[in-house]
Amino acid sequence: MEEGGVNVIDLTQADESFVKELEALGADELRECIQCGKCGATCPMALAGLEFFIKRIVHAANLGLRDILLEDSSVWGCQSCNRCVEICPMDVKPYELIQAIRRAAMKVESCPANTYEGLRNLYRFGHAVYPKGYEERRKKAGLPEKPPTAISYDELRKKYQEILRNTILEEIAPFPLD
Amino acid sequence: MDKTGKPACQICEKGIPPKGIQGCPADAIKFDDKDEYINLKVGAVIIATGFKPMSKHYFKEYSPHSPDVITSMEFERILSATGPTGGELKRPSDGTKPKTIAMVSCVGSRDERYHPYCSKVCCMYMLKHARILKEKYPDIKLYLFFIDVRTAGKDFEEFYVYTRELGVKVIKGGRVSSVDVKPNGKLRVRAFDSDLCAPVELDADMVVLATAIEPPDGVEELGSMFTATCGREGFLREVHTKLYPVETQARGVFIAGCVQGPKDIPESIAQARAAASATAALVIPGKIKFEAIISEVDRDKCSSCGVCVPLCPYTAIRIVEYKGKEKAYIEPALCAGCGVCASACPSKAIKFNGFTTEQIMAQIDALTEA
Repeated sequence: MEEGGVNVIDLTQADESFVKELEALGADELRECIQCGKCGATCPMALAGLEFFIKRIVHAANLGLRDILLEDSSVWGCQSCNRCVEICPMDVKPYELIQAIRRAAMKVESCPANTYEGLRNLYRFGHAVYPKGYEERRKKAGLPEKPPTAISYDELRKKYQEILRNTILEEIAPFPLD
Repeated sequence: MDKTGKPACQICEKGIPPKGIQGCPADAIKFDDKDEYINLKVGAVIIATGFKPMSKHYFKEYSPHSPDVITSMEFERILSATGPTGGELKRPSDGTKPKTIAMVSCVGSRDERYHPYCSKVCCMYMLKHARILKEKYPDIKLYLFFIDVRTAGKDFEEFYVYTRELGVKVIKGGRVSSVDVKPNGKLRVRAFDSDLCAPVELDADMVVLATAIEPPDGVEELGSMFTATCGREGFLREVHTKLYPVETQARGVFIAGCVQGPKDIPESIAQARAAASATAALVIPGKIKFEAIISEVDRDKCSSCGVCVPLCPYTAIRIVEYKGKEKAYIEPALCAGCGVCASACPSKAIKFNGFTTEQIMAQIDALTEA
């Protein structure tokens, strides 16, 4: 999006292959959307004021506006509440579209920096959110140094990492998978 | 774009001699037939003149001077196998195949400057054109600009969803504001997309305008010939939308199809059949029942002034000879019982049955008796 002035969207730049890509990435009923707006009325992203909430995302995806969708960070704001999937009258599965756009964005490394941070944490520790330096605080509170989650079970964590290495993560991870 | 300019094939007349195919063996076709006028005496008339598509030239904002900006009716001809291009999709300006086509709805409809009504069929035929194109040329880019998509009716919404699934792009809340010809011959289309909440632009090779359905030329004169009246929009008016949908206020004159208002083919056919049944019900019995509440002339009192003749909205009054003098005569089959003539007659020669002076005076007396 340009800064200042009116943001005119040039449909000439629209790319039908992007629609096909999203369909292949899981949003296979995307084209059935009739823009009734039911999802937009329940989406927390819309309530939170994100510029590209679910209804606009579906429409932009249908038009094949690749650049707009990949440059805007709204899809990463999705809370995965799945309300849109439950109420969609056309069975478009809007949440699947969000996931498809995220997959497409990962392929071209077009996602916010904290996404990578979360991804790295997920791979290393088994948690997307991993606050640093909590060991001391846990000790003070009389807790074991590490919480009883994936981080405490090295062997299981290695197995889990091996599974992840067999996914597309192997190709697209912007950090070493060691 | 009306005619193909190709000579007729004449197969039905001459056959294909090398293949041994003869022309019509039943000799059922008159090849030398010509237009002629036939005078008929009839008991009822159905007016079904159809409509006129609006011309693109009213819409200066859509660059009507460009040959690549065409109306849907012209586009229909381009798509037709017997059309000027033999069914091949070509740009009228340079004959190249367009890659991007924009279609604009509500051109002249839902517009106070031209026609405030909805032309009803445009949404569906735009989708039809889009579907034909997309099935024939899957790579073509189609953008349909609607104010909103009106697909009411059986199977229509399914048609709409199916067309969307083919990859036709639907822009809603966006009647196109302008079409400009760019120096490279492309057409720059500007609109607003309310689903994107943003203004949009598009470079199209061709723009198709779904222009409004208009009443045909001269329908008002035709209507007044039959004493059928036109509504505010210029279409002939039915007596009652629900109870008398094919009747006009003139008895024996019926209407069907787009002369009554914009409608699609199934509706026109249904209305035509209704008009045909109404006509048959009127004509076949050979007798007509008419209302008791009609006017009558006491011809002995009539002074032959003729005041009543032009006043009658149903042309029921004629001057005919009676006892060697010209006197007014009211045709009971045409009289609708409005009473205009009775109140206007200076000689009080016209009796309005059911509302005679004595009857009305008696009613007033009864009401004012305290």
